Amino acid sequence: MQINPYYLKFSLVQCTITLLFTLTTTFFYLDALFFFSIITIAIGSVFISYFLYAWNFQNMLFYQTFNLSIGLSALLYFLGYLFAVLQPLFI
Amino acid sequence: MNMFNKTLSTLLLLFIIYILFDIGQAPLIEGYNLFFPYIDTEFGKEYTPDKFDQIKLYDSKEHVLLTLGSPLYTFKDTVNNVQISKFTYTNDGYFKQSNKIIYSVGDFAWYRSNITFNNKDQVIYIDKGWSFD
Repeated sequence: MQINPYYLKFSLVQCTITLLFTLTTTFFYLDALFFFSIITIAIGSVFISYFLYAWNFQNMLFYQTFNLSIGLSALLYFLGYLFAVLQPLFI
Repeated sequence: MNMFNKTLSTLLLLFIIYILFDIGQAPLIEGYNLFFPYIDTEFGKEYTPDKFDQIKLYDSKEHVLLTLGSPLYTFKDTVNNVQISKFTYTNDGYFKQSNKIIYSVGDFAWYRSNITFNNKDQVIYIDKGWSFD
């Protein structure tokens, strides 16, 4: 089946944005923070892929859903960052 | 089996949404807030970072006080008898102090601004920069 090419682009752009913003939080241990973020996003993408596969999202195979799930995982991580950084505006 | 997969994957998705959202906030604990950099820094009354940048080595104490006003804290070394004094213009923990609401992340990086004087009341050391503690 044909996989939407925008899923991979979305994931790449979202991961880049997430990592760039995350790395602005400190000047120290950037390598550790980078790997911590990557591993968290990767673990999250496995769970999201399982969900997409179980619900037959566009009839994709399990490994094919990673094109999209990595971006969605990074997006959720980024939303957490945004919530913390902008929380004085919300309350 | 299909129903089991759907139920389990939905439960796991809800769990991972919570975890990802929560862990996404973790780098900001004692971290630099890109949108509100000075959110956790308590300033002296007349202190601004721009004014602090105007202070140079060997400026007099009077000039410092005229430019920056009174410091938040003053430290005098009386133990070692070296007669140096230190002015502290900024402090950590302003965000929690100024809000009674409990935030998910309440402790960000803060901007450090200290000036040390010698026994002739001249500036001998300027300490400034971001502290991630």
